[in-house]
Amino acid sequence: MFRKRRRKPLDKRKYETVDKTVSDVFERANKSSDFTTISPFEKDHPLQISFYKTLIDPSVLQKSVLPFLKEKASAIMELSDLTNMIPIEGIKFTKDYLELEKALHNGSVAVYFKDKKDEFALLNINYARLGQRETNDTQNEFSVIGPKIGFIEDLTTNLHLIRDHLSTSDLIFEEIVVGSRAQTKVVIAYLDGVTNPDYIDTAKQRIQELDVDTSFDNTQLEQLISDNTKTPFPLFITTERVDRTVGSLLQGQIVVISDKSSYAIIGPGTLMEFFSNPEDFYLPSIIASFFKLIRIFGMLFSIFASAFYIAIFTFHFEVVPKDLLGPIIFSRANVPFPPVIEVLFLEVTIDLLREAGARLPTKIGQTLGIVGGIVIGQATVEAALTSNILLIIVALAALSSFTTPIYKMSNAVRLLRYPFILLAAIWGGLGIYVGLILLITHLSRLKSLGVPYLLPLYPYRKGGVVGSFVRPNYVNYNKRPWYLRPLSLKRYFPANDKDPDEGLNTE
Amino acid sequence: MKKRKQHLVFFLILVCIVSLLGCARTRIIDKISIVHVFGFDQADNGDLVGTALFPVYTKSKGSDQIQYLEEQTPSSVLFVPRMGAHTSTPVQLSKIRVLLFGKEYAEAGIQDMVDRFMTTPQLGTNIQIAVSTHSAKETLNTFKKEKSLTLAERIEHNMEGQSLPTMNLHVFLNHFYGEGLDAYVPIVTIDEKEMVTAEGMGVFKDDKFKLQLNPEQTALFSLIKDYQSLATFKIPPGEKDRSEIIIVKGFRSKSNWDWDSKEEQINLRLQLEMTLSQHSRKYNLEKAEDINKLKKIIVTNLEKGVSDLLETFKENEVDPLGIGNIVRSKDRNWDEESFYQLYPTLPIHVNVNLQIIHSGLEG
Repeated sequence: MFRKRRRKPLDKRKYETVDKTVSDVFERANKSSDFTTISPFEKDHPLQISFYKTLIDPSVLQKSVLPFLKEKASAIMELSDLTNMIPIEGIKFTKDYLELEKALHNGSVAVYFKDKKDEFALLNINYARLGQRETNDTQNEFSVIGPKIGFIEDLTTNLHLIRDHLSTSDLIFEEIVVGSRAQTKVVIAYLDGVTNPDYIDTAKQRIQELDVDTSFDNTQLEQLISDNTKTPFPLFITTERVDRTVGSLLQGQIVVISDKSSYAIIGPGTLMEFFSNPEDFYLPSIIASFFKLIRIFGMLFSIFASAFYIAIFTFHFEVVPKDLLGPIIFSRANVPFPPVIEVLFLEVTIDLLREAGARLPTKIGQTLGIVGGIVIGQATVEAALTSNILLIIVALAALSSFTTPIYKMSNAVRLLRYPFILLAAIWGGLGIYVGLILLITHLSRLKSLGVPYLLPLYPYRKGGVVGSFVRPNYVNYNKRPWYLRPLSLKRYFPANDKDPDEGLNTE
Repeated sequence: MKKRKQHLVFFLILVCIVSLLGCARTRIIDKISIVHVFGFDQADNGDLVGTALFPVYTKSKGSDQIQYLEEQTPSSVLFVPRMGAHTSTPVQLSKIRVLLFGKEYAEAGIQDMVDRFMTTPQLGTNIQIAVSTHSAKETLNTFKKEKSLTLAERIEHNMEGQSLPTMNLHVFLNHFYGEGLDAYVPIVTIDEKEMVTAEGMGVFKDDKFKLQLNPEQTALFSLIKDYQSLATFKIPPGEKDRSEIIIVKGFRSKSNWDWDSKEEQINLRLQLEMTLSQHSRKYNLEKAEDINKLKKIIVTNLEKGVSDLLETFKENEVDPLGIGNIVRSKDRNWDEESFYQLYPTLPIHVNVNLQIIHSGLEG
């Protein structure tokens, strides 16, 4: 009944259209209107150049290629003469038509003899930043203090940002090309001598074995290489912050960056790491710890608040303090629905508002706040569709779900409350208990790059539990988490004796 | 395949367990009648009269809308179904804060009712049980006129910060069913201004109400029984001249019981820490001898008061202090029947050790 039908393995590289010859390459490229072939010389000169004009930098072509070509056109007898004539780095010569096609798509100009199409000179003058945004502020992960640089949708810029922050020769970038149609560059970054090679090999193997036509974004790639694709929880940390990425590299984690994506993914990820924020490391540890605990509380509150509302108000009214009974019953007295309908109504409303807010253009978005907050909130209570108390609880729960710094995690938290609401409506407190058991079972079975997701809580790892709930003091915790098996453990030595007894103003 | 079937069976069992356990009736918070105080009386024909106060929160946020129900049944089990006939929503007992017995019913014996408390798991045990000098019906009616539902608070704060000894249903059941101790409860009464007042305590002998203590005796009792009794004492009790009155307030008290099995007598050593709230001007507290004089007056008065109190217990053959239980813990051959034959003549020596921690300032 449950058996899966086994499929035949797909043919290797099925989606790729295969070119057989050089003329095939040109023939198909010519179908596109942006493919240009010109002969910039006297009529009978045999030299020709071809390129996609949407991919190259026209000013380089005008200033550094064409003038030199024209000047000495008559002197060119062999393609290799071009090396001395054109002041451009990276002139390649090839006879392979596959390489030619790839180079054309990367923004190269092919120079060749009209009647002898078997060797090509490839001048790389691509314009990578064409169409890229100029600002690289973080768009979704904010912090009050600390650097505000984020990644943009360009691989070289992103790699530059990382290399700039972490200028050491230990930082290794390994490039893999993914996608058989559009060949997206994916880079795995790690610190040599720190990161456990197992993670690198696992990630590399998974990415290399991918057989997809295009990878739009890193977040899509993340799901393709994830250990468990059916879970709502993100198994890798997706971040657009450079400081967070560099921090994880230093911890001994790997970072995967891909072209045309402004998100880096960090692995292996553990659950508690999703609640820490780069800002934690810029604030004093006691303050940072407090806010981290607030975030963890916010996550729990967001999942369980409305479920407990239902469980208590449908089954266990005994736990309500006597003085609270009056206000609660009075506010619910006119509501015609049982608590579960009331809660579902409000929760769906909040999610609608949220989804609408995320899709609306910014200028219209402001009106949404008024519509959502004031009109709907106030009106539903006055129309006796929900009680005042529930409105407060649901609003607080929605608010606290936004405290989770990683967007994917905050989505998972938002989704999780629905099963709990339903369980609480059917079985009350017992239902919440059952749901909790299922949730913990699920979490403890998850893995990220082969590392247990609940680490260091389960399996228990000594010395890591404190660090997952608070941000420990730098002086006491100068090591990398050993349960992530880094190759070198010690990170730094804090300065000794920072509070000497003898000072300038000693009395 | 076999393993998968096993999993399926396990899963079905789990589903059954969970779904069957969850077959509870929903009790939506605004669709129930929550009883706040329940009173018990005895009718002339031997039936039970139950009275209950329900706050009607759906009409007002506060507790000024109170519904009063009275039902006469031959058995206590029938109270809830009979009351349900009058209410628009099901009656729920889980939030009862105070159980009140009319004095007449308490004197006739409450064994069957207390047995019923044991078999009603909805009742919490951290609730108050009290006896009213008037009938429970009258008390609840007066209480309803006050338009507040603070009877439990009224009793509880008197236990915490005043002279009532601490008690709740949990402790009451231990005293009621335990060997070598008798149950005691706070007493509420209706005063001249038609107010419900917490006043003194009463002691049960077995299941019958036997003895009522006045406020002074209650304060002394709480001094012996509780660790932190904040009761105030006027010394000497009969003094009319205001300049001569000494007032002390309890702060901490510890009682040590000693059973002398050879001579069959009990020594009670009371270690008291008290604050001196008011004293006569003729004593200069900076002089040690004056303090000792003061202490002596207080100690002799307290010793006499405690001895009189113990004498009263012995006369009435009640044992709310659990002396029988104390002796049982020291004597292997203790036997309830023979001990309580001895009890009325049992000599108890009281020794008070007083320490005044400060004077004047009110804490």
